[in-house]
Amino acid sequence: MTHRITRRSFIGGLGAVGAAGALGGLGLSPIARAQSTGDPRFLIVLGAGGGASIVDGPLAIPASKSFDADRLNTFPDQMLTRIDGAPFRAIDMYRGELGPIPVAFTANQSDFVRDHHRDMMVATWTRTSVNHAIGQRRSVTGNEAWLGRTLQECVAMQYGADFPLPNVHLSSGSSFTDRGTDGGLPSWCYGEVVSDPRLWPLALDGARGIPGAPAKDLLDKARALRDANLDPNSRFGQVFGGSERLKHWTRIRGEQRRLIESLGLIDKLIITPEGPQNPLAAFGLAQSPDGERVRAAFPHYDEDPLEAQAALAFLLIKHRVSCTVTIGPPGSVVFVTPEGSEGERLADDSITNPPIAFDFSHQAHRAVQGLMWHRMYRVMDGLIRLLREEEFAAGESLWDRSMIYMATDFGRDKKRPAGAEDWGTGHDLDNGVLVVSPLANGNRILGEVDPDTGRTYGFDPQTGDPVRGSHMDERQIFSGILHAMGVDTSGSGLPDMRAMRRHA
Amino acid sequence: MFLDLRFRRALGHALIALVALSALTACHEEQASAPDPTPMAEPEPAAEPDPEVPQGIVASHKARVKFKGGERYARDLAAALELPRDQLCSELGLYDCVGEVHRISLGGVEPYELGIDEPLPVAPVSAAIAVDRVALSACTRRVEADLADPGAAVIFAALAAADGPKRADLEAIAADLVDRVLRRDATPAEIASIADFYAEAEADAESPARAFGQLSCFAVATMLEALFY
Repeated sequence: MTHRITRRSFIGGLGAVGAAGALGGLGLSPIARAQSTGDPRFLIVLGAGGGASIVDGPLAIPASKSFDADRLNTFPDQMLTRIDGAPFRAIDMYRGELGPIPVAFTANQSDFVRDHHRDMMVATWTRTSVNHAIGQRRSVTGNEAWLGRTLQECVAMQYGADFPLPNVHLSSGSSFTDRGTDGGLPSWCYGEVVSDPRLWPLALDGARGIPGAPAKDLLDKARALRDANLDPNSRFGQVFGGSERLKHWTRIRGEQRRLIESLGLIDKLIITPEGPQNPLAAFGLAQSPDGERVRAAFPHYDEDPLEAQAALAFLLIKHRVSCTVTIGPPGSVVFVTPEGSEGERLADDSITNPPIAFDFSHQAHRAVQGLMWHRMYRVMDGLIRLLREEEFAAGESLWDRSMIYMATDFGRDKKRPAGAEDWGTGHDLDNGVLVVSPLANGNRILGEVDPDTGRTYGFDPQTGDPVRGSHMDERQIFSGILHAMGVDTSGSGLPDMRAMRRHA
Repeated sequence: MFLDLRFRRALGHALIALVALSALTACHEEQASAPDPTPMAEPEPAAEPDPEVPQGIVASHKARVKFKGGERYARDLAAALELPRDQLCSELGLYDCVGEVHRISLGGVEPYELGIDEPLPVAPVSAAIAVDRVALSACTRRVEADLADPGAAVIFAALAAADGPKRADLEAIAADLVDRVLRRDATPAEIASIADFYAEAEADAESPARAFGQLSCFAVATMLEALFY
């Protein structure tokens, strides 16, 4: 890694001694934002809540390779698809029910692996908690590996200075979107929460779409009256002017608002087309010019929150609003209307998300993991295709500078009742992580799984060669992701994980 | 030997006390440099006194303020402008601004679908813009209703005068807005500043009276004092 002394490392160093919080409080972040980052990279965190088991995806174990196939989570050989030139396994399945839910579904992993194996990297790791919230948090902080910063905050810090909202959290209700514990970062590094991707763009302009709104120039003069005259001269403003909370509000309604409004984002980010439930034209608004393309990639955007999140995530990256976005499936069941089903409930493939997502494996491990891995792959595929179609510069696509990190809480139990075709599993520390990116050491499995125990083992951090008896920890994977993203970690003490990045 | 043992015990206790004291001191120092962890709705830690506060006004040494949150703000604004709460602001004419679209940004929770069971720890950037939208929408409704039926006007009857409002009318409107929204008397300086804004409206708007009503209301309704307490 190149060790540079940059404005970011300077502020990061201050954060380490607890002084940058004061700088942020004094409103120095606008100065920081003035610096340019002409070489951004983009991180998409896909929070696979509930425990995405790596041995039900790319490290699936064929029964013929295991001495204990009947009692371990192995797959009949005919269920595994081998992709030429890829080290990964893929499971395709059709099942008549989703555990206790009588809905049939088809799940396919092989298409994704076939199309994207060159950018796929699996690294094994051993987690430190089987508690959902703790496991999720540690998947993005590396167990507080670098001052408690999240991966998203680190990426925002590195590349986000020129972005109006560098770090956007489109999913909620999990700890993949926790705020890190380093209060010394500039305020714009922390996640901006989006609760409904379909309507949130309306919150990016103070007046557009409001019937009878005045001209922008005059509105700005009213804001100036408030900001420069009424507030500072009011007794309230003078008595409580020392409040950090008031200072923060003054910042976000001032420079940050002006920057966001200047970009005219509403018409670029609305994914829903004109319709009775979305009467944009009547309010002087329009859908995104990319709306049709984005909806084609995520056809269930109106029913499935994850697809809506992914659609907006792409647009946020495309329009350089954000350099990191976090998305993830909801914790509740999602019904969609499959083509030709005419909306009948429990038609084949009408449930795309079981209750509590991956964690419904407590009831039906094999079916739930199969459905959810299929779901994750499908959303990743849509994002990759959209990003590939967008040029960054000089023939390089946005995808060439992006990474999808499939974060998850922990693994799942490796055992099953002898010969069971479906069963319930608990939480397990042992697992692996999937990263998909041209920046990662693609088409590689770092470490491996022991087919006789179902448990993974680690790898050499430099070469990636599997090392039996070793285990990778959360700090190492955190470091490897940051280094692949090109984040300057000088002074952090994070280990070099050369094996996880494509380029030196 | 006995005394020696007692001495050793005493020394041991003293050392333990010293270690404990230094640990507490370290803990205190760590807390002192930690970031503000309090949620939007919770009282914030005390602030440093501001040396720039003019004489005659004593700056709060604590300066602990709380954000009203979307629902409380909406109810206050609806009461101030005498508008039904459900007519305050709706996005695309269909979705309530405060209860639905900007609910989370404005410090609300939605545990059932979104899993958000605590207010956001820090106001997001979209919160300030959402407040602008709510206030602008509400003020516009009030002005339009008053201008449409000056006889039943609540605040802006004087703006409907055929020859335009007089200075005294503008000042009366300014005082009334402050009284309604901030629940206090306006200062002479505030009244003058708000009334002066009519000149800006005259210069830039086709309908200065309407624009003055909208934006004087907007400016007062989005003051820090209207949003925090």
